Amino acid sequence: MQGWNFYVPTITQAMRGKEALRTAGIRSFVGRNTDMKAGRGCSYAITVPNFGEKAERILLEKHIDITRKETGQ
Amino acid sequence: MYYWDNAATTWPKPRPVREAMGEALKRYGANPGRGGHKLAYVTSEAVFRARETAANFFGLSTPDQVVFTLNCTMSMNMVIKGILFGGGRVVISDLEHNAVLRPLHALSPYRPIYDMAQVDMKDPEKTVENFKRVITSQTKLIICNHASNVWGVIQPIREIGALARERGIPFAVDAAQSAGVLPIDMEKDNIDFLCVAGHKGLYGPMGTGMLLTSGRYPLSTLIEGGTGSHSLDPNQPDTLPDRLESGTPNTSGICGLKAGMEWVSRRGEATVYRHEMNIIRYLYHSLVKTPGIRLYTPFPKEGRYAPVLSFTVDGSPSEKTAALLNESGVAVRAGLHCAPLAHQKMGTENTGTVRLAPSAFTGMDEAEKIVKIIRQTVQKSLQR
Repeated sequence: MQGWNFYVPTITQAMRGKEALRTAGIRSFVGRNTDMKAGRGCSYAITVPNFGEKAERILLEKHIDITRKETGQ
Repeated sequence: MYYWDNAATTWPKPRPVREAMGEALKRYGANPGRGGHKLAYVTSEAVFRARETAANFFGLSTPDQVVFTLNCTMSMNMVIKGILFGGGRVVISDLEHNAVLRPLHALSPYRPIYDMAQVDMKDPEKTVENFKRVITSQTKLIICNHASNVWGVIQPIREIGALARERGIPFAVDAAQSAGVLPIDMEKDNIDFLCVAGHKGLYGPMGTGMLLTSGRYPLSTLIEGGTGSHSLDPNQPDTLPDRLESGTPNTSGICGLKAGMEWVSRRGEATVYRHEMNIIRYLYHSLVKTPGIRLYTPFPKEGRYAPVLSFTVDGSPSEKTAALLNESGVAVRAGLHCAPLAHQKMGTENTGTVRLAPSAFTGMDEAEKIVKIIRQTVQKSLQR
């Protein structure tokens, strides 16, 4: 896996997170969570290729409910 | 046709609204918040942008707390039944619409569960005092319409909201007639639940509404189902907006509503309000001195009244007057306007009233024509 994945419960939070990162100059992508069990069914991931730690800080500041994260290479 | 029924729904809709809806049908064809393919994300983003627009419009810090509904009535039902799930009493104003009265009646048909605060038509401070008087330790919710759909009187929601907040009681505002016409800031106005019609002052399409929540009070759900999230859990998710939005949304309607809010913002809410109030004041001045016409409210001062004006013709039921006006090409709403409490307050429950409601598109020249037609109609009515 490249970059960081932040799992969030709703598409709205995923979009809001992506928007917050964009405003901070961090590129990200929204996708479906592929691990059904981890997300208690369907959920979303915000994937950040770079600046993962900074991205996490921004998401938490914006009250994005990160249910799980994966820190990649 | 002269369309003066804008308090029921505004018409015509602005071109950007019509175009946004067509564009949505063409470009946002997938189900938002469901699939993982590109079209689903593009559509999800369009819905998200509409949430953002609504949050900014009404002073909410996060779009998560914007819930799309079918109309203001649905939003009111979600609040009333979502808060009173475990019982309790409600304080309402004596001008509430059936969107409030009927859900309350449905919860307890034989023993009213509401206490009514009188709205003072001239003095908002007295209205606040009247609310204060009827709040008890049993009060679980306070509901007040922002502007009466019959009489236009504006309620002091900020002060009533402050009362509610002091006492730790959730405060819901029925903004069916005021959203897009009067300024509303959920935080400053101390509102916990804002129930909005998308198709009136916001110029969106019919079949759109919103429930905006402060997030301070969780709601039990009226409807449960698929949300595209937490699907392994048989319980409805707690996270907003999913908790209150099950099933496929009205994407093109939501896009139209977004365009409507943007249109109102560009034009300026205050500009639209002043324009419509100029028309209402002209109508008031003209009709108050017309023999055979009865007006019920004081002169509609700016800031105290919303742009609707109700009248009756002596000896004529309101529906008959409306039918005569219809023959002259004038579309107005007569009867009780689904607000029996408001009519009982003013003694018009047996005749109803004829309601005139202009929009941003109504010109003063049209108002002048309407006055002439109404005067001719009164003459005909009195002669019959």
